[in-house]
Amino acid sequence: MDERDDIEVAPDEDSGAEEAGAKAAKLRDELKACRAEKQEYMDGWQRAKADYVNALKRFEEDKKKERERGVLTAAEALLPAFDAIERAKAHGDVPEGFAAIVKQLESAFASLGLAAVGKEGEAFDPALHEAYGQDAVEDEKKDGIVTAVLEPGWKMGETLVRPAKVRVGQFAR
Amino acid sequence: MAKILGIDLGTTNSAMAIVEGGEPRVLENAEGARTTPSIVAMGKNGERIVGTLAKRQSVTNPLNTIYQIKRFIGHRFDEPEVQKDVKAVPFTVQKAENGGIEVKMGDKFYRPEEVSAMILGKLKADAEAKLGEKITEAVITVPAYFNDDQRSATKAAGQIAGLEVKRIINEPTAAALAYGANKKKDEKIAVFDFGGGTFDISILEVGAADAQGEGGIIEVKSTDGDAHLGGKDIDQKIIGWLAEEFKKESGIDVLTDALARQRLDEAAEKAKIELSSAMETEVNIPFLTSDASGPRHLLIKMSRAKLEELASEFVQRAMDITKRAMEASPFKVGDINEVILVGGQTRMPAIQQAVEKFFGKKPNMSVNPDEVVAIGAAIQAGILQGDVKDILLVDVIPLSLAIETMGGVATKLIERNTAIPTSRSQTFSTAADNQPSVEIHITQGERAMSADNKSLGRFMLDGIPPAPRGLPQVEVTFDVDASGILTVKAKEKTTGKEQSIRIEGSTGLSKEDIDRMKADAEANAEADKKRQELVEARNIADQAVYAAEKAIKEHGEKAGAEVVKAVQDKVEDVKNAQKGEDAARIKSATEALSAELSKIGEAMAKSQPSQGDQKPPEASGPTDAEFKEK
Repeated sequence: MDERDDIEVAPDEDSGAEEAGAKAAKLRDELKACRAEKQEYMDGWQRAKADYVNALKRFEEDKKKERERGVLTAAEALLPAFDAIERAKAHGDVPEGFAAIVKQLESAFASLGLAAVGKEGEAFDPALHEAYGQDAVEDEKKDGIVTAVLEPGWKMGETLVRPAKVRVGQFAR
Repeated sequence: MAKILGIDLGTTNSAMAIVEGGEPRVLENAEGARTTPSIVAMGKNGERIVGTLAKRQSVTNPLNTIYQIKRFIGHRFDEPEVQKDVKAVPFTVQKAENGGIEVKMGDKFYRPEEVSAMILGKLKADAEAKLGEKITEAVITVPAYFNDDQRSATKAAGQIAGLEVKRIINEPTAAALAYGANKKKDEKIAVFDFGGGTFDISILEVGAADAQGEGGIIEVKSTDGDAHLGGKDIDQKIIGWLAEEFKKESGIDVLTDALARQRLDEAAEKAKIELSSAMETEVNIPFLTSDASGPRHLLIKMSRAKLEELASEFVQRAMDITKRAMEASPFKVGDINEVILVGGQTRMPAIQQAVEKFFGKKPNMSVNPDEVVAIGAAIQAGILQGDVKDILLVDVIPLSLAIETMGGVATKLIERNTAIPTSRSQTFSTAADNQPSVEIHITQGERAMSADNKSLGRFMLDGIPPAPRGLPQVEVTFDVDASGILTVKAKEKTTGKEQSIRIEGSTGLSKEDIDRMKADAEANAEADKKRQELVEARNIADQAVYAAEKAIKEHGEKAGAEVVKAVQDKVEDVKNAQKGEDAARIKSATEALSAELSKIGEAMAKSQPSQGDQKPPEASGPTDAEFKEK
């Protein structure tokens, strides 16, 4: 039976047409309520299914991000040691044998896609740098320019792992 | 239906969360962080910068970088506390026309709610980008001590940001919601919030059930705190001690060097965190500074006892304030049913112990203390959203459902906490040649062996056609309907013969039973793992022996007596090992048998060099699980 069809109720032999009419009206009301409920359930089901499909898509995205985050976390843990090596190099403190190990570390970092950020002379950008101090400059052009890199920053692809710690030029007007 | 965002608008950091699939979860901002610094700045080009980026440029732009605006929202300029805070900040704060407060950024003055709106605006934009849908409504939390002006100003901040603020709720109330207070009745809860910069203690009462029989209204009965007491104070104490120790050794005062000071700050926080789980840690800062003699390094051991000594004055102050809050409430300490910890600093064992000692009960910290307020705000948002009819609740099974496989192992088909209704199938096989039937024994629980779990029922599937072990395919399907009724069906795929059983009340265990079974599984995890390994080793050994005996029978003549004897000796070794309980011994005997078995193949290959397509018999890898005939 097509649910769009109206219900026809034949009157009982023993009851009058009036009673049949009341019965039909009651059944029509019930049918209307059932249809409304059915639609509600269908809507709910479809919404839940859609939510599920969307969630699956987001899980895949999240999985990819978690993998990247895992690499990032590991890289972050190694960075202080790498910084120490850079400081040692600046002091001329790295003997030949260790220099080879440093090279290995550097190439391991590069293979992970890690690249240093922060250079003297570039414009200060809070997306890449964190300011730790200001240096007075006499040239207005040097206002807001990185005057010293205290600690290099690192990025992995487009993601900033750690901002570079810098000093920034300040031109006093 | 649009989601309502739950927002913890903090003094130093803010966080946001949303309810998805019935569960609250914190949303990351555009930078991928779960918290956003509550900092707003105006850059040199007039651009607005909010959050982490604003924090990074604050040193270059102190006059136009606004932080801790929450200390000013809803206040009047002339208040003594405001005057103290004004002196502590580098940006310009002035009296507004109506006696309120204005802060300067660039050339303009802004009301505190306008600045807060900028923070809320960033959270809103980041949430929309993350979820891919517009957010127009929010629930925002405020401290319990906020007055009407402060609450109105916070609501106004939301409106300026384009958010209809459906509810302003107290931070301790939000924390209580995160721990399910909305389902509780007649409870007294203490919320101990020790964050980075502020300390708050609140005593709450959850009233009688509401008209629908749901959890009662949560009321703040007393609140107290110190707006300038937090984890940062402890960090500063540690930095001071490290600098002092370094000076004793090197004669250098590193506190005057901004970068060295920052490195000490990071190391201090790291040490503090490590000492929450370890009794001692090493603070290692190579090349901290240098002098005429060359580079100087800091390497100091720090014990938990030392940290607790440094932190003791702050912990004591927090407990004194807590005592005050209890005295101001209508309750005694013994009346408190539950203690909730909020704020990252509460991870410190000394604080947890002090709180436990004071209240005489273990504090609750199962929800991340940095995120609990945002999560509670999201739960409130979810409750408000639930006013719209959502008739469908999703239930889960509380304990795993399994069948018993060879060796008495409980092989799980449906893991605990799986949402229902659900259906899972797995295919098994026979353990012996020509096995005519299999017994399906269904158990419930988390233990590795069936005997340790609750037996739900068992039935036989017979009429399995004669076949070597491992060949028949018996598909077992577990189906749990929305009412928790479990139907288990076993079907032999070649004949199509099937049998099933219906088990009611598989989810009918009491909460105590469920908790006890989970605790049992955890307590016995190590022992269960060993038993499971032993069973697996025996199963693999069985298969290796079977393969070897079959190979000897089929190819022994061709391989030669010497090879056969060697294999038979190894089979004996395996059988002897199986009599004992040493899984490692069984494994090594099995490996030796497999190695010996391959010689039958080699011997056959040598005797018939032209038949290169003959493969040597191998001990086959284990089928995942097999049924033993009872």
